[in-house]
Amino acid sequence: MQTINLKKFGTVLISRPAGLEAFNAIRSQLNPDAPIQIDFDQVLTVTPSWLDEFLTQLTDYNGGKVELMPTKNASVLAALPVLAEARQDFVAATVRRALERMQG
Amino acid sequence: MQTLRNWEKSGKLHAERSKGGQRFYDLQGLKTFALDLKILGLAWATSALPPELPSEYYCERPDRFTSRVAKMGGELQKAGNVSEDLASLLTLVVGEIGDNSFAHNVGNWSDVPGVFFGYNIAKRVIVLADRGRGVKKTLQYVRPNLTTDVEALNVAFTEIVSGRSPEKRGNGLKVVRRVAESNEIGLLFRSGIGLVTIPLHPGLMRIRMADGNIRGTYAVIQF
Repeated sequence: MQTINLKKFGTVLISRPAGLEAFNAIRSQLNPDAPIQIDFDQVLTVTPSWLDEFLTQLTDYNGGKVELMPTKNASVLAALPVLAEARQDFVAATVRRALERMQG
Repeated sequence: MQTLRNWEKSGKLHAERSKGGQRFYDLQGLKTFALDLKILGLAWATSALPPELPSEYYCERPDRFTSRVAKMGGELQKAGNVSEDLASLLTLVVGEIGDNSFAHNVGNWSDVPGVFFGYNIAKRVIVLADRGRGVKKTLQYVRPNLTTDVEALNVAFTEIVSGRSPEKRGNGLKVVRRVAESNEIGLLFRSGIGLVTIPLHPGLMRIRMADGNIRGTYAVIQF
């Protein structure tokens, strides 16, 4: 399992272009065949735009083998339900699994 | 002088103390405190010719906006009277609204690019404004039948739809609404003659007509 600590991109993560840039920066260090987990520790805020873009790129890259580590980050908990709404893709599946784990 | 002491007592204004115990106030701090960000932001958004802004309130490009939002987030965390959760959520709200201004107006600014972004943590207010195309014009690219600003704001804050379709976008303002409705965050958002309000104490969003026009967008966040 590979772990991406989002803190390495900053404590405040906003905008789609920045989410794409973060993925492009880390892509070469990732094995597309191995699962990836995302750690939100020490991040103050992730906006839905940044998270959507980053997760879309990441899950497309490794075929949806992405898990979100449990978090109490208020911005992440606010963004996740909307990211799972009205779509059936890798991002929605990743988010639904994370919500089930955190709520269960 | 008593007013200053009252503000200090309530945590709105910080006073230094001399060795003899006398209060003194930093001049820049007093000027910032006295400035009405809501009026300044509204003036910038509505005047025919944009007034010149102090550099600390003007973000011409997204990178400057991002770095200032990160700075605000850090200051909220250190403020003492703002919880970690509230700091996180306020930063989300500001980040989404300001980023929308850039994302939906790039290459289409009518005169001055960028956003007005001012905040005063002591007064618990944050103001954002842009001189862009506004919500209705942006959404009419994907919803040509939209005819009013009120209708456009309703779509923007309640439906997952993007003015940059077919890009997968359109989540941001929905999250902003839910966050403001369920936390101690008040929102006033204007575009065209449309007005969105969400009360400071948790409560539902209302959309109605405003009594004036704003070509771009103007937002006041209170907490």
